[in-house]
Amino acid sequence: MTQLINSFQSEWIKKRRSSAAWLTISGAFLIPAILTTKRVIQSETLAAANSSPKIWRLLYGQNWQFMSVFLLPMGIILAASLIAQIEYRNNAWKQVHTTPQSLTTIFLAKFGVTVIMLVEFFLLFNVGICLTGIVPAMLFQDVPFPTSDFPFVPFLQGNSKFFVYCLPILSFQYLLSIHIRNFMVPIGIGFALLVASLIAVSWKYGYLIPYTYCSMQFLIHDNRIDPSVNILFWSTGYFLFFTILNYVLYLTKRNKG
Amino acid sequence: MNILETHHLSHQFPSGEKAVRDLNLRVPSESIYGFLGANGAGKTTSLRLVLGLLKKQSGEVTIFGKPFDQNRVAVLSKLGSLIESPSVYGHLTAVENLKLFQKIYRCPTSRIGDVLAMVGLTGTGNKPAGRFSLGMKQRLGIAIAMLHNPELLILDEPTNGLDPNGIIEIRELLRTLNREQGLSILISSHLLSEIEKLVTHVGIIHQGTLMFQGTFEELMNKKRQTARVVVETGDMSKALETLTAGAWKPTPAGEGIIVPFSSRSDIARINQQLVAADIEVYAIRNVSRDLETVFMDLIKTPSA
Repeated sequence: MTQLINSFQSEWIKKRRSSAAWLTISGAFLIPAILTTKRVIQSETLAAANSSPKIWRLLYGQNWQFMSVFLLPMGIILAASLIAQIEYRNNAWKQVHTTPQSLTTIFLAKFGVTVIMLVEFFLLFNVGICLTGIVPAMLFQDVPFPTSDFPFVPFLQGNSKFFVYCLPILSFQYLLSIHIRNFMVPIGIGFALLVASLIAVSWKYGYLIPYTYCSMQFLIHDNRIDPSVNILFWSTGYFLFFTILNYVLYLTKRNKG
Repeated sequence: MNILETHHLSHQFPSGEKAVRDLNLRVPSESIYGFLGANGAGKTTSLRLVLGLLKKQSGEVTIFGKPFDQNRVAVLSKLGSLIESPSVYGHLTAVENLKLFQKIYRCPTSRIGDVLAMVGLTGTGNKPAGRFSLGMKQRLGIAIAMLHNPELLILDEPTNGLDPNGIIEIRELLRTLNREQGLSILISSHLLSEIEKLVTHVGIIHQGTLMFQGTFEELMNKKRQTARVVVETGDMSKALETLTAGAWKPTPAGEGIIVPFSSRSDIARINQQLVAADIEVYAIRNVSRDLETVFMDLIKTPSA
């Protein structure tokens, strides 16, 4: 266990100032920053909006509307590829594989960092959602701070669902990225699957494409989405399948650097 | 006792090309073993097999007296390596690069300063390693390999990209570590001249086959045994006849005759025989036989 923690710390150092780290931060604040700007520009409606008891749900919905369908999956595709690229670009797989750690430890630590980066992204994104409501009140005297209770439980439930729906994308992209040296290939495959998922989201078998789940969650009340399909189950299943497959492929890889 | 051994190690690429053939390396403890071969001879593939970076197809690797596969983590904890180009994370500083390996090796943080000083990289500050020169990256790679005070160091062409001064410094560093700390070193190179001043043992590989393995002294003896002179005479065919009859093994080469010899007195005897046969001897001169030529001869010979 100590070895796994040390290995995780080592992997965490590697992502410092990396493109993946910057993408996580900038991606998390992109939509909130745009929405905040929009709210500030349309300042005449701000006072009424911030006084509304539904302000947090409104901001949550607006932020996730843009994030869930395209930006989040695309961000995951890019971040997973960039994380694996750290080793390829620096010719470092061979050094990693000659350190005294089991292959399982290396796999878990590296994949653990990508999962924690996704958690970090969700936390920052939610901070961004809160700032969307707070920043205008700081800028304009006549705009009140949102007074309604912050809906912790619905936020947590909604975020948790989106998080689980992201996991198969993360796992599959990570699988591609650590096995394919040319990082354009996993990004290209991911982008193609994402576009396919946007087309297939309302198809009755669309749930078979794991990239559709974030869109489905957002459109869950739309009559084009079949409510009888348990996408939470499918998502978890795909995540486990891709992770185990990735682990087996990683262990049996003939060339380790 | 050998600190590293390979037993009948072989490897074939998917294209069918045999990269390593029945390799039996014997690296003695506390030695500096020079693993020599031309580019593409199989050095890097052999070292990658030794370190488990390539899946073994046949043969065994024993390090510290233990089979590598069954003791991978324990063996790697006492081993430092630098294979081909240095593995440094370009977006991190030298200290951060070492810090991340220090976490894995669980060695004292003070080692980071020690190894940076050892390779002369103390003043790099916040400069990302990506902006280092190739020589600096190579030094950082050596620092990473040395971080946990290993007992065995495996270096694949570590002086690549270093200027002559850097090569001398690294050579001195390795010699000092070997002498003072008893560190065993397996170092590969395609240039014998580069490591002949450093090594105690030598292995020469060509087309995946080990052509020579032994002490540096044994290689030097081989050099002496294969010394040659060029003899220029007034009658080449008669001189060839005379020398052949005298149990020499002369071969014509241009306007002279090349004759192998093993001691300086042989040169006098060659001259005496030619003069006794009434052949005019115009010149007898040594054929330059540096170790590089011996090395080239070895890799031209079908077997050692």
